[in-house]
Amino acid sequence: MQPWLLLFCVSALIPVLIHFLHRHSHRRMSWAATHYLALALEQISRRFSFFQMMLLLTRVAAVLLLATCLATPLLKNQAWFQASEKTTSLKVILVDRSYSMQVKESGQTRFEDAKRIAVDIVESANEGDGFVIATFDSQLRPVISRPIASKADVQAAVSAMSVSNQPSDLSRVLPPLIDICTSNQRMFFDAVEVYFVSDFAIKDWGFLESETTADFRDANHSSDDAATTAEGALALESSWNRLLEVAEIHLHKVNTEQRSNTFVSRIKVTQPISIINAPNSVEVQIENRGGAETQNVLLELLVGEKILASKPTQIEPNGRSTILADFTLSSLGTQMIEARISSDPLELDDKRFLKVKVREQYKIAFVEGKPNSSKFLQLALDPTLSTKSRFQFKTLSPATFSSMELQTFDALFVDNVRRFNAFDVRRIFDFVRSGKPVFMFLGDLVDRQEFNEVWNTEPDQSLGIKLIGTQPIDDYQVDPLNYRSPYVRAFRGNPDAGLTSLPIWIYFKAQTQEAAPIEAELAFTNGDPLLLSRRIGNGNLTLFVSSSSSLSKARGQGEVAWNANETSPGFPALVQELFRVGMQQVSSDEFQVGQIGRGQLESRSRIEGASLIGPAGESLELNLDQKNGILTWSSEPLHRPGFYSLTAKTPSGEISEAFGVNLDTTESDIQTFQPTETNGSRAGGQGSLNSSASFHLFQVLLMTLFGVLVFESIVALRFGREK
Amino acid sequence: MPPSPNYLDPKTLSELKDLTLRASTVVDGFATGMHRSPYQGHSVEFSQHREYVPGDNVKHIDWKVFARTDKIHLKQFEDETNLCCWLLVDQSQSMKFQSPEGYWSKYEFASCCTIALSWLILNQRDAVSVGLFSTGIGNVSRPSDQRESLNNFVTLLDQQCSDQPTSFKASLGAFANETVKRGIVVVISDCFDDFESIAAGLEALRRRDHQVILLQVMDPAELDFDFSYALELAGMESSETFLVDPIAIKQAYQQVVREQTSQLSDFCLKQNILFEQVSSNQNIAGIVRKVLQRIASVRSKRR
Repeated sequence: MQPWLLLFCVSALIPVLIHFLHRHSHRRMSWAATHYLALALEQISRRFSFFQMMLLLTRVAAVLLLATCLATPLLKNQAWFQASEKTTSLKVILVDRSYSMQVKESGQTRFEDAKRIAVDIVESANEGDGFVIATFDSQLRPVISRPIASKADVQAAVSAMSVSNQPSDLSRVLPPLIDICTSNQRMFFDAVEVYFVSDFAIKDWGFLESETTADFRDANHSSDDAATTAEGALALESSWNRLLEVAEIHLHKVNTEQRSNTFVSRIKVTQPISIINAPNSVEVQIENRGGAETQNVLLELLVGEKILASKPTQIEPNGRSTILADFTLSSLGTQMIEARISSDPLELDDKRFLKVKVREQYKIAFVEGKPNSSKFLQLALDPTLSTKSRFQFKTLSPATFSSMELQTFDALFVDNVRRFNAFDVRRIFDFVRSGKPVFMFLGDLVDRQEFNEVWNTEPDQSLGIKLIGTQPIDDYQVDPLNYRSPYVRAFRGNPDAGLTSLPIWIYFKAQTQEAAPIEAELAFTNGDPLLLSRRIGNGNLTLFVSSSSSLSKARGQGEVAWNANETSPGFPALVQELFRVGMQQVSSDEFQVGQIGRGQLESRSRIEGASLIGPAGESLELNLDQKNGILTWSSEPLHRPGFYSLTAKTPSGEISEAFGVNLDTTESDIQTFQPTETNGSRAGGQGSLNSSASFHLFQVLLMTLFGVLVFESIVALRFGREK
Repeated sequence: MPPSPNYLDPKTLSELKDLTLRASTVVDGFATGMHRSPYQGHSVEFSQHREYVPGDNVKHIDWKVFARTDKIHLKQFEDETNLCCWLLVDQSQSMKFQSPEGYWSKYEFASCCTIALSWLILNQRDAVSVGLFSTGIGNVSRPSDQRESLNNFVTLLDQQCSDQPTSFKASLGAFANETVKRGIVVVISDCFDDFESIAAGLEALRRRDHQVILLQVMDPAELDFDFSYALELAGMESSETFLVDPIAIKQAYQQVVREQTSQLSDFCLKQNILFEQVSSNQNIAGIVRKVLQRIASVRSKRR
């Protein structure tokens, strides 16, 4: 029922108004044969008035009926409408293709069982019924989007369905499903029936099992995400109730057993960019969902087919275990690490993938505004400056920086640079977005206005930090902010490490935009920030608001230095922590299954072609765009978990990049619930179907309207219209 | 009978402003359309002989009888006087009616008919009188067989219609009482009067042994009531107004007209009155022809 359409009932006044207007719009004329006229009027006056009134009422009724038809009221479950008349229904069959349907039960997967049930539904349908077929995972994927009646075509379409590697998301499935139901509701069928064929994973369908949304929330989620979950559950319930208004719902569950599932939910390497033969470690999180038994799991770390490490562990029911495994890599280049656990009924989520770049040395670029101004930073990172150092430094002036291929470096330090041009600022932003750290130190060459202008120009490359001005010379004290920042966490419990006693006398007062994702990692005791970090894409840009050393002097005030960091024992430790944490935050787990792959490659040479190869050796389509030495690429959705390899050809050779694609494990909890006749839906047994019990009043109204219009035509022909 | 020339078309006639011109056009057209006129004027038919007495006109002595019998006898004729035809035109208010589709008013149509008839009758050397009536009998000219009288008739008919309604009973009754000599009375009216009044008036004429011809002149709109828009009709002979939907009332109105006409026609048939219902858009020649045929038949019966 769409009540607002009843407003059209007001238009029933139109015939009445026309009637009265018509009475007042006439021509005056003298008439001689009044005697005849009087006799004629006497004859017809009563009959004429009666039919005039009848005609008026008929027209008013026609308008009212039309308005009511537009409002399309729907009577449901009216026994007196059912009679013995055969009704036709539109059967919308939805087959769950989410990855939990890959669980093997009694020799066949849940998805194969779902297809069998779908075929049964089609076979038991009445003649005249229509079918719309779709699958769903993270979204609704129509297979047959317009109603068809051929059972053979429908069964062929069901047979051709395939399972996906994505979790289901009912909140994104229901709205387009409602649209399909409403668009077909009034067309050719007496009723719309929606058949869900699924394992009814508890994650998506729990809202039907719980008495209330609050119960569902309390039973399944911690209080931290309670608000978000409750909001989502309410939206889901609202969509479900809307679907119940437009269709009759049947829930058909595939054959399932209540069992547990162990899966790798997270993998994280300590140093995504690793030094060859240097120790590194990986943190793997394994979860055990469903069931009531503790699971013994063997974790293996592999590079290719070579096992790097192996660790057994036990995981409590509905618990999780985080395992730290050490390893070393002895080959240079990008290495793909696979964390794998012993197989179970759902093999898809037993693996997770990660890439580690292995270098002989870290390649770090220093851009310095004053010659040698960055030498104290380099000393801080590598006090020995030996030839066997794990660092390879490249010192650049702002001018030479523009011509340098930035992506060949692992990190970038910017020290006391007066200004960058817009092109270089964009390159730095792209560098950070790719997951690599940038550390920026200010100084006496930095111009506040130019900094604010060049670093806050366009929306996609705005730092969100503005410099207010240099603060007057004073002996400022550092506040570690309870050491909550990962950059200074190592200083906790070491008050003599020199962090709080950094000798800083001048700094830029900085102001941050409220909406920007900026964290104050360190501050002064007066509340002004000292160290700010800004998340940009996959990486971090860190800003130190004072200079890196005493080479920055106060202008016009003699030889007063901004600070004497190089003399403080705390400063080298701080710089090393900045680098270490910054390198840990380099993103290595870029993509999830179902996402579109996209990224950038820096190449001064013209790219002649590129290819993306998936884990099964399949080639994926690519879109390429090369501008200003940056190749931006994007691919079709990445459907398989595993390693992908991107290779770009240039006249001088090949540039390659690799990345891992992992599963969104939100559906790895394969517990299911048994659908009952809940919330107005019908639980279908194996092949048991219910006939339609709804009837459209619309049809009755339409027929009545037709009758009224015919009657009006007859009356009008006789008494109201010119022959 | 060949079709009448175009210039007898009522639309053409209505565009001629002068009544005499209209009538002469009708008459000329009428005469032109005849191959052989059956109306050769009156002839003086021999009836008997009588003996001459002094004072008799010697031109009527039958010299052949005198030669055979030696007695002087005079020829005697059956009727030496002309037929007299009274043309009575309704000049009531309702005769002024002219619908948007009508070429002219009913009175203009009646006047044209009257002059055309007068002209033709005078051509036959019969006497004609033209009179007007409404509530009562108005001006009635003296019967004359002189063509010069035609101008008097035109002058008489050029009068405006009166503001009075029609009363057949009063007007024709008065006319019957005042007219001693019997003759042919042609009544041209829209007959918008009570049937009883019309019947009484016509009966009065018949009692005086007049041959009566009733021409009911109606505007086309009065016959068909063919309007496509709502009307407020104000009575011309009454203060009544009627708000009508012509589409809805049309059939009923036409039925009333048919009934009234039928009633009048039946009455006239019984009274041996020639009744013709004519439309003011109708060709005048046909109407004139019918009237003249009637007059001729009356004349033949008298002889």
